[in-house]
Amino acid sequence: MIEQIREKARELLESGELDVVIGYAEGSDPTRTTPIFCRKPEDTDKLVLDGRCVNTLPAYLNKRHEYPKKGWKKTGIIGKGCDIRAITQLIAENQLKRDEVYIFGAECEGVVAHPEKWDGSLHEGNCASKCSACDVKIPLDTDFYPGEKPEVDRSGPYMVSAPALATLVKMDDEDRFAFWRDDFDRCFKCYACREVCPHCSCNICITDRTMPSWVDQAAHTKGVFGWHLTRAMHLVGRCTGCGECTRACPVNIQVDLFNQKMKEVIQESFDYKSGYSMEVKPPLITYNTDDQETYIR
Amino acid sequence: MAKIGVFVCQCGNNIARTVDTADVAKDASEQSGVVFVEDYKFMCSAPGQEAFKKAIRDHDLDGCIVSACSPKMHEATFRNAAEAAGLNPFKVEIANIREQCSWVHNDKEIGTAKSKDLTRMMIQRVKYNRPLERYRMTMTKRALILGGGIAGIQAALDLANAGTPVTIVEKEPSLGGNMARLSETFPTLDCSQCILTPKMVEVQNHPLITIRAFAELEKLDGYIGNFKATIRQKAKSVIDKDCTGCGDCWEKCPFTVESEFDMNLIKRKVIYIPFPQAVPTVPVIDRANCPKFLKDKCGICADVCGPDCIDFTQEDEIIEEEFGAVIVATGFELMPNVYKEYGGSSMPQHLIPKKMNKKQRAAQPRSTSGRLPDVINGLEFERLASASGPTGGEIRRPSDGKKPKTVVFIACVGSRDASKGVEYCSKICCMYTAKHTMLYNHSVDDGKAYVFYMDIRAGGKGYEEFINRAQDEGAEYIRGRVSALRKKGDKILVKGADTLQGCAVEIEADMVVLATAMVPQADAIDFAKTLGISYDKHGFYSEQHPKLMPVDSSTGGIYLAGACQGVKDVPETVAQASAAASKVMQLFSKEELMREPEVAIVDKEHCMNCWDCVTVCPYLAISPEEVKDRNGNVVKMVANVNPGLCQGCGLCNTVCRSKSIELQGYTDQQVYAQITAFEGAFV
Repeated sequence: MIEQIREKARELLESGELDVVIGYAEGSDPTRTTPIFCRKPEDTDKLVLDGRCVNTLPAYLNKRHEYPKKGWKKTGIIGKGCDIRAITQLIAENQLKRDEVYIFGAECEGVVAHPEKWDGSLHEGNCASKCSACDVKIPLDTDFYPGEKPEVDRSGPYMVSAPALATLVKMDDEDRFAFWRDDFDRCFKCYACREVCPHCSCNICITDRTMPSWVDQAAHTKGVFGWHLTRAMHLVGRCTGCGECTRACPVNIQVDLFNQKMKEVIQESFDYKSGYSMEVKPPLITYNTDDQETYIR
Repeated sequence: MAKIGVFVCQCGNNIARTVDTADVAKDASEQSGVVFVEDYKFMCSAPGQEAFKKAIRDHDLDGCIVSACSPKMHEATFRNAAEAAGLNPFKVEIANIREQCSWVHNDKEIGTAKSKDLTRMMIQRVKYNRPLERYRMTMTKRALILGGGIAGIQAALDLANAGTPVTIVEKEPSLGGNMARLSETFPTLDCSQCILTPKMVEVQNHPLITIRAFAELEKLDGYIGNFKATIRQKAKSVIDKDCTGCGDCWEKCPFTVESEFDMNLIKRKVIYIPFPQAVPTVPVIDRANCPKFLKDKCGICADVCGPDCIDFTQEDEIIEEEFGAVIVATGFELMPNVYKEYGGSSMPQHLIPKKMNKKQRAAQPRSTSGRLPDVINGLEFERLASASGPTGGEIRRPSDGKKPKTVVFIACVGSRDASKGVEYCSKICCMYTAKHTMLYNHSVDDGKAYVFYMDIRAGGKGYEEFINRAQDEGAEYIRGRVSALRKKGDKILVKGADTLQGCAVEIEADMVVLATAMVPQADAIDFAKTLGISYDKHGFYSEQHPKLMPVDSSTGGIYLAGACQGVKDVPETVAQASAAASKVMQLFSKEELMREPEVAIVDKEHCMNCWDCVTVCPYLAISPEEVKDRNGNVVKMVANVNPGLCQGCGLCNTVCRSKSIELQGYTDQQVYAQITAFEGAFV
């Protein structure tokens, strides 16, 4: 599978159709892979694709990063199904044009929850929870797919895949607050969750704004709550559920629980799944004269 | 260091009764940056304003707080005073300690504490107020009038006589609207067409008025002073500049269809003018019914036309024109399908089989026929009574042309009852029903008119007298509702109640006239969306303020006239049309347009062009803009606000995640300072 992708990537880089191909290469130790930017055709030999490829590469396509400003006309990117969902959402939000990217897709078996758990193969014990309910293992929108792409029914709802969410929603307010207070106690605001997110696209994040300073910048209870709740609200109807925020967290806070819950709410209220269409606008920025709420009409 | 003046108004006793204004002033004087404080009986009075101006000059103030009534009342007063004293008007803020304090609290201590809070909040806010300049923009001094009924005609004449070029767009082939259908008008019983047609002729001959009949507005872009209208001139199939209106074509045309103008009571030709006094007197071909278009047969009209102006190949024309103001005068229609309520089905008559078996009869709702032919609505009666109508002004019933000896008029059909129609009072029906009884009594000497009514609402000049006159002339008024209409031989059995006598009433009538509720045009809501104006739940267009701005729509530069805004009779419609025209004159009387600067502004450095603001903006005021480097290369795209269109609603501010769009005069800094100054604020 990866051989075909390598071959195609090499061919497109040689012909000059693509300026760069973003993919995965062997990392610093056998349990890890690292993102690679293939600029030369021979670099494509380094490409790998397996259960260790956890990173959500479309974050590099976000204009907040400097890469899109390097003058690359067309970027190739190797994407798992969930990554391609993120690309679709970036296009829907005008952060990217479809003709600026060339998407290499492949069937995904799932990825490991964390590189530490990699023991040479992917199995129930080390697979990321997001993969259990995935309906894009065969990716949606690809320019290159090795072999024949089968049709998949994706009409079902988003499946909430974090087991912790089920217990969390059952808690009463006090316990739930205690849960988050204890978890957030560890947060020291490194903003790793923001940096890995493919959808955090602001040039200046609201938390870095100081005139006025809406979100308290200190890493105390108020500042941390302020940040995480703001982040959650800013991703409502936009998060495509790659789970990178939780994986990247150095102190193991399950920050994507907020996003998972909000995805459920958006789906119920507006019948909207982010990352499945480039045309449908996210519900929080649109209004419909047939809305169930009369005040909006 | 800021130099802020605080002016606390006692408003006579209005504020001072529950707010210790001296204490509020003392508290304000202790705030940092406050250099002048005044506690005064009436700040808005001439001496109060003088004191305000003097303080600005003497103390060189760079910000002012007036703690007084709602900014809706006197914000403009004090901003103008500040401007006169040399301070930027947008450096003045109002703390509302009347509507929000003294009027809603009884306890003086609470009222005072809250007034102090509000004043303090404003002091902190005004420190971040930036001086703003009003926007000046040019305008096109031409008016667009949508609808050529009496409202549109009146507004057009008023404007044109004041020197403003006007274009009237009318969807029918002729001006006139519903008023042209009326026979006579209450309360003076003068002939409707006799008072309307001179105005129509005046419109036609006025050099400043352009009539676009048989045309519709497709799209309206732009903003107050600078609208761009896209008008579809439907194909008349007649070259109107050559047509003399001689009438040869419609006289010779061998095909007929039901006349909409005559409420389908009579036939008209397929090439037609709706009524003899039509303006313009240019016929149109009804292509949906013309055999030339259906099967390429006939073409007699082209043969007989002297000036040779029949053009079967004519196509719809799209015209784009610029206007500075728009008057919406699209009128009303009568509520459709009300016959069902009184025993008829709403099934068109020709679809109902003449002979029915028992089963079919049982399936018919409460009636053996469809709509009973002699149950008609108010406008149909108007045509029967009109001298130019199908019966030449003699009242004859539609089924067999006999003179009806007994006529029952039913008021409030479809109105004043949300379960059977609309909940509002249709307002004009009491009057026109009284008029109908009189017209009937004048036409049929030995006839008897009965009126079933709920209440008589005759609140107008000469209206009550008119009702009395109708009763004196023989109409019998029965207070009560009608439960059913049944066909009985060639008569209609009217079953009703007389609630004053407390008994059931049955009348065998020759004809029944329903005073059907006035409702907005069927496409009123879609049209409102085309225009970008707001409307109520019935589809009537909403005025800006029910008392003080009755002709302004919710969108600047668009004004309302006539029944599209709510039920109205002719005098009210004319009054509102003149009012709308005067609003337009007021707008056009200035050299250029001044817009308040409280509009959104984009931080172009940080805008990340997600276009969420573009999507949410209800006024279409935000559009993408290219940012170019000095070589002309596009560096990035950012949002750009058109200050002419922006209404300052702030929706864009709320969706912008990166806080790259702000409302001038309501910046985050101002609001944040205001919130943090509140003692109980959790920040």
